[in-house]
Amino acid sequence: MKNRSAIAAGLVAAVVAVFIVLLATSDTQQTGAVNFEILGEVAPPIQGPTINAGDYSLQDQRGNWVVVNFFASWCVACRVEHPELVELSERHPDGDVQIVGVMFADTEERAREFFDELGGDWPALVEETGSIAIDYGVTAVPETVLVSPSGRVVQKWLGANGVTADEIDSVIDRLEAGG
Amino acid sequence: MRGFTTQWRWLSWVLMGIIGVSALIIGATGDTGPATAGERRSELAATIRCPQCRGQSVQESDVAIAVEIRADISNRIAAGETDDQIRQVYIDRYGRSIVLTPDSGGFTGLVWIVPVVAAGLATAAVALAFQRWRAQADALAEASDEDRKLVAELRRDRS
Repeated sequence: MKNRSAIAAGLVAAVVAVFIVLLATSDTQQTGAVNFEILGEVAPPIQGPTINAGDYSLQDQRGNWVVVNFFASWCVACRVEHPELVELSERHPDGDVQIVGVMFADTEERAREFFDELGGDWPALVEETGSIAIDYGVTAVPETVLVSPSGRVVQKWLGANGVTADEIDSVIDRLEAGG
Repeated sequence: MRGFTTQWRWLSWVLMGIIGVSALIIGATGDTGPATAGERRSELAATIRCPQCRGQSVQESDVAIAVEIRADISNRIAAGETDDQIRQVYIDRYGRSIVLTPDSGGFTGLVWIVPVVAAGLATAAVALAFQRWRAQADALAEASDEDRKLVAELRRDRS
């Protein structure tokens, strides 16, 4: 009788142990998933009308570094970050580093006001941009990715303070140097 | 009479088993799926984790990315993509953890198997226990010659 109880207790302990191992080894990336799945991949297409009534295609930018910035006018961190992108744009007047904005969950009118207020003259896409954000695995704005001259996503920045011009230049310098 | 009762008991167990298995089969295979594109979107959205939230699906959440993913699911349904294709899109973009249902294969597959095995073992243990108690009760139901002799002696002593 004692043996039988011991076997039953052993079985229960084994089942509990299996569950503990499962819980301990399972993917705990439950929230705020910092998603870097896209790194190294060919940059998904970005194409469409821009805030300045132009048309933009990422494909046409091959040969240049492209900084893709997902932003929204209601996003405080985007407002903090934006002057850094203006600074980056001014550092590269020859166009070897291009910037493109992709509006996220916002209206065209507010996006235009955002640029009028904070500066910046780079193209910003404002129509059907939700699917572009999903293609790039965006979870929340601001998020910024760097696309290499060959068209691959080589870096992604996200976080409350956004990205700085120095950080972007530093990554480009490192990659151009073969790092 | 006793044989007739035993037969009925077994028959009722068999009937109960047939009904239970039939219900499981109908439940597992009889689902005709969502009736409308909206229902299909809701069902799909309920299986996709909101990338920005804690423990919420994109169906439940109202953060911007959840709203965008819901709209994207609708567009993909309208474009004729299957549920598996749509889920795969988000797995490719956000990783396997974007899907709320665990993998059915590999080590994680134990999540599905262990409860079924545990339920089977528990049912078998309960059935064994009932069988043993019944055998003990049956053994007690018939009075032995010694019992009768003891009762007779007690009656004699009282009278």
